[in-house]
Formats: sequence, structure tokens, C-alpha cells
Amino acid sequence: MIRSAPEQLAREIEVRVRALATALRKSGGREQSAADLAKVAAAASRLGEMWQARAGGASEALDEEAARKARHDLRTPVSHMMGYLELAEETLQEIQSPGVEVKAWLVEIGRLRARVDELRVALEAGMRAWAHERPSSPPASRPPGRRGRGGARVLAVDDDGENRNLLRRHLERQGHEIETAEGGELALRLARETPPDLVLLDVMMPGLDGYETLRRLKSDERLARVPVIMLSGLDHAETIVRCLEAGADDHIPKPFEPAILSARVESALERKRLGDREREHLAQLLAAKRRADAFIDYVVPMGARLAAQTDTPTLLREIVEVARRFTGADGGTLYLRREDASLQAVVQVVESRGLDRSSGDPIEDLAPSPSAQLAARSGRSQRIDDTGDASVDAPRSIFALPLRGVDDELRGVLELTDARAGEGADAATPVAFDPARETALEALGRLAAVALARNAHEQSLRRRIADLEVQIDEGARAREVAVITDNDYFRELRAKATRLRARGRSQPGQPSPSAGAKTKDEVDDGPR
Amino acid sequence: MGRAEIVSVHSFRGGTGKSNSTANLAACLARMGKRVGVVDTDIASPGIHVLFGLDLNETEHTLVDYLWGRCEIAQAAYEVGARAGIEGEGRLYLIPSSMRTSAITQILREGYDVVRLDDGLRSLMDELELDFLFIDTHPGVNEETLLSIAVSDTLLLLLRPDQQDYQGTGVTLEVARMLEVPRIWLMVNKAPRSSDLSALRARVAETYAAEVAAVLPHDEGMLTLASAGVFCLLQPEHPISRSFDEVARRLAKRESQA
Repeated sequence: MIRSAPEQLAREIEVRVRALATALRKSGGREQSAADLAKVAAAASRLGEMWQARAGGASEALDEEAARKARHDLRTPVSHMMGYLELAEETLQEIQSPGVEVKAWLVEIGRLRARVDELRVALEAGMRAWAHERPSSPPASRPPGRRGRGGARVLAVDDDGENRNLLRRHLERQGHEIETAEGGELALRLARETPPDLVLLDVMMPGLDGYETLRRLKSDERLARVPVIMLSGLDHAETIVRCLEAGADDHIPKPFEPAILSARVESALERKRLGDREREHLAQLLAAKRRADAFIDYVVPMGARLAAQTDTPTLLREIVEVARRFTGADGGTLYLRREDASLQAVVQVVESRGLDRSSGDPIEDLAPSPSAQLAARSGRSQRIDDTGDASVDAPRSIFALPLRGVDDELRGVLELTDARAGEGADAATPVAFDPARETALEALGRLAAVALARNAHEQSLRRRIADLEVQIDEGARAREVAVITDNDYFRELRAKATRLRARGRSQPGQPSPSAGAKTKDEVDDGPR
Repeated sequence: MGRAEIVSVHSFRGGTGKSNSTANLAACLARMGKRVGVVDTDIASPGIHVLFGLDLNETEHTLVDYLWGRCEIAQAAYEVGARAGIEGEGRLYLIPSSMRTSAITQILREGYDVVRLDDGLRSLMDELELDFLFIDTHPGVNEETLLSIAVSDTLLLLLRPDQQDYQGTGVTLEVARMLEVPRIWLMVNKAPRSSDLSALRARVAETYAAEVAAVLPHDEGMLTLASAGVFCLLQPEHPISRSFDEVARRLAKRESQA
């Protein structure tokens, strides 16, 4: 009979584990490890039998419930094998200055763990052939080597030196960084110096006991979120309940099982990581809310203010100032788009240089910067965090914002230079423009473009109204008419005008009025 | 054939496009087959001959020569229609002023006999058998412009839409009414492109209680071309050319009724 892979592996493991247990017993004093290994062998034997029994009826399809139970039954001995191998390994690893023999056993345990893992994989593959099989569940045992993520800072507090030592060695094996304290006072001081990721806290201690230390940790704002696992004898049930009520995250009975210690430590750390991530998300949400607030508190009122501004030079200047205040920019230049699509600077303000040209008249000597031109051509914002140009007047950071209204038509470009932190001693040092404010700034640019379009329309309407307004000063007109008409020449001309017009038809050569009258062209150009 | 219709083109200030409008209206009428004369009486700053491409160095006589009695008025008339591309029966005669600075200075200093001008205009109409005689006047009001206005059958008052022109046009209009000019038309030139032209036309007509013959928008393209020639001959399909055409047709209609 050809044995299937899981059965062969189980057999091999059983044989090798028994051999190892025998070797341990022979060397003496390793009863605990040998007993653990015997349990591994027993589990391997049980698994082999179960698999054989299953294989006999493999052709029958199982219903889902039966399949689930069968899988559970088969996985349980694998978990036991892995668990007891780990215990044996940990016990051997605790041996101070191990000899060649011990090291050889540890190597063999390592190999056996690898075989158990192979067995698990083979078992899962075999079970997948069954009816109603679902994707294989995660490994029932932890992978070999160091367990958990490691790398956390753990503070272990216990008045017993041996306990502190054990905790240290265990947790260091898990890859954590350990600090120990023999009492509550020292623990609190150390925690306040550098907040740890986790505290293991003995309940019964002279001086500040575990309960009081816990209470003080939880009432310290900076430490309240550090998880605390209480260590106590099982007879301290009442104390444990009090501790859990006071904010302890978990409890480990003493003397602790290394596997339980590891599991609870990792679980507490994982919860803390999740909590931290949640707080991070919360911070991101708050940042998003701040951006929304920037819209509501600044962009919207400023947009309304721009929309209400009817005076063109004031509007142009306000567009620059509103954006400068919003970004903390040192400089701001507003270009308007000419009819031929080129840019014309109309406002330039650079606070650090005391420059303020904001009459709204074209600034002829100011050619548009490359960033402004690019923003105009592409229709997209141009952000330069560091130009790398160290010359005196050159800006370090630039944000060029195309001003496009609701019709998407480009009205101009607003270029902001040298954002500043605006706080403390470095207030004047240029920094990059805040990318988080980009969206709000672009919205502001759109509102500015709308205000510009509206202003241009209004100016054109005003011009039309002015064109239509015909005002005549009647007094002045009467005086001027009098100057022209109140003389003999005019009177004569008037008397004969009709006859003059008629004369051309019939009687050319008739005398004209005021024959011989000469005129000089001196009075008469009229007002210019 | 009846007596020619005298059309004086006047504006209170310079720069309204007076010479240009005169040249265009005269050309439109000539193109319709009319015999048209244009007298440049703007002796201080003559310019209309440039539009018709007439080089004064090649002209023997000018209006100034006639006023000084050095020639007959018809000797100072030059046919410029053919060279401008006007075909058929239409004729376009220009009586230029003088371009010689010395002559201009002298006649402005000594003045001239306005009666002789009046006589000259009449001889011209008879000898050239004109249907229309345009007088391109000097801006402002002096004895010579008053005479031009007094003898006119139609006075075309040009103005730009600004307060100074509105005021000055009011003065000229009142004077022309005192002289009982039969037809007084206003023509608004160089209206800003943003303007609502029909509203402007209505407003001007209402203010002066006068007919507005046309409202012409300010046009850069026209200004460039207009200095080189007669715009409505160069760009006959342009809206501004069509406006001139329409005014010319209305003048022709009046002439035939007269």
C-alpha cells in the first residue's frame, strides 16, 4: 500500500521526535522537554491514523458541515505538534551557555518544525480535494523563527529579579526592546521619559503597587493610550477585575507560559497599532476638515468680497492680497490676458522688497515669468517647491495659478512667490507652497476669474451708458451761438441764405452778401 | 438737368473722419453713375487729395489759385474717379486746396473773398454738370464755413460720441437752423465697439431733434486702410462701406425728388 504524503510525513516526524526525546532523556535533566516531545510524537501518530481513516472513504463526497469538522479534527494535532515543539525549543533555548549537544537538538527541532509545516501544507492540499472545500485557512501554527512583528518598546515591571530576567529574555527573543523596573515609581519615571509601546505590570509590589501604578499611568495624558498587561497570581482575581476596570488591557497569570505571554503581548501590541492607525486616519480626516474649513471660512467669503468689488484697480489688488494672505506668500504678481493671448502684468507686490505696484495700470517693464506663461499655456497650476536660485531677487518657491472662470476661459495668471511659515524665528524663510491648500487656492483662482469677468462686463456696460449720455450745457451753447451769430456778416448771410441757395439754379453771378468781406482763420477752430 | 445738390460736410472739431466720410460718400454716388464734385476748403490742413491718390506737385492749379484769381475754377478740377476704379457714367472731380506751405500761409494771413468761393462753386456745378457738390470744410465755425453751410442743401454734421463733440455740435446745429438749411443730418463716427449702436443713434436723434444718417463704429482696420485710399471702394462688403452706401442712396433719392 502506497502511503499518501501527509501520512508519510506524520510517520517520519513521529519517528524523529521519539528519537530526539530518547536522546534528551539519556543526557538527563531534560524531562520537561522530553515530555513535550512525547506529546508531539503522540499527535503525529494520531494524525497519521486519522488521515488513513479519512483516505479510506475519500471517494465519498462530504457535506459542508462534515467537511468543516473533519478539517478541524485534522488541524488540531498539527497545532499540538507545532505548539509542543515550540515549548521544547524555548526550554532548550533558555539553557545558559549550551553545549554542542544542546545546539544539535535545537537544530533538529528547527528541522522538525519545518517538516511539521510541510505536513500542514500537504494536509491542506489533500483536504482541498474534498467536496465543498473552501480556500485554505491561514496556518494553524505560527511560522518558524521569531514570532510577532517585534521591534516594540516594552517596559516590564516586577519586584522579583528572576521574573524580570525571564520577561526580558522572552520578549527579546520576540524581537522587542525591553526596559525593566523593580517598582512603580521607577516605572512611571521611565515611562514619562520615553513612552513605551506596552507595559507589563506586576500587581503585588512593595511601595507603589501595580494597581496604583496603573491608575497613574492611565491618568497621564501622554501615557493613557499605552496598553498595560497585568501580571498576577490566579488568587488575585478581585485585584485583576479592579485593574481591568481601571483600564488594564489584559492579564497574564503567574507563573506565565511563554506561549501565552507571547500571544498576549503581540495581541496587545496589534491592538495598539490598530489604535494608532485609527488615530492617524482621524488626523487625516481632521486635515480634510481643515481644508473644508479653509473653503468655508476663507475661500467663500473672499470670493464674495471679490465679487462685490466694483472698482477695477481695487479688485486687481485684492485678488493678489487675498491669495497672498491665504498662502503666506511674500510676493504676488497678477497678469491679465491680452486679446492676442499674451500676458500683461498689472499688479506686483513683493513685501520683503517693499515693492507695491498696484495702480492697475499695465506694468510694461515686467515680462511674464516662465511659470506664469506655462500656467497660461497649459491651463494648469505650476508649483515649484525650490527653484534652487539663490540670487537676491529670485524667488525660491513659486505657485503660478491660471485664472479661469466658469466658462473655462483664461482671464489671467496669478503668480505667488516665496511662501513663508509665518511663525517663530523662521517666519521670513521661504518654504514650499502647501500642497494641501492647492485645491482651495484653485477655487479662489476660479472665483477671482469670475470676478474679473464680471468686472470687465460691468466696465463695458458703464462705457455704453457713458456713450449714450449726451449732456449739453445750454448756457454755454447759447453764448457760443451768440458769438457766431451776433454780427453783421451773419445777419446778412442769414437774410440772403435762402436766396443764395435758390440763385444757383437760375441766376449765376448775382452779388453775394457782404461783397469783399475777408475772413481770417484765427478765431474759428472751435474748442479742441 | 436741375441744379446740383450742395452737401457740406462739417464737424465741430478735427479728427472726426470728415475728409474720409466726404471721400466715401462722393465715391459711392459716383459709382451709382452720378457726376460728383468735391471741393477741399480745409485750406489750413488739406488732406482729401491723398485719399484719391492725387499728387499736388503734378497739379497745375488748385482752389487757392482760383481764389487769388490766377485761374478759372474748372481749371482746378481733376477727375479722380477713373483712377479709383469708378466705371460707367459716374464722374468724380476733386478741387484740391493747396499743399504748398507758402500759399497756405499767405492765404490764411490775408484771407480771401468768400464771395469768390461762392461764385466758384456755382460755376463748377454748371461747367461740370454736377449732380452733387461736396464741400469738405474746415473744422469749427468761421465765415467760410458759415458760407458753406448757408449755401448747402444738405448739411452733414459729423461727431464722435463724446461730451466735447456733443456740446459743439449743438452750437453748429443751432446756427445751421438759423440759416434755414433744408436738410441737416447728423453722422456719429468712431463709436466705441462696445457701444449699442442703435441705442446711441436713438439717443443722439432725440437730443438734437435731428435725423441721424448713420452711426459708424470705431474700426482699426478701416483707419489703416482709409489713409491709403477710399475705404468703400477697397472693401465694398464691409459693414462700414454698406453704411456709406446707404447714406449715399438716401442722398441720391433726395436729389431726384428735388
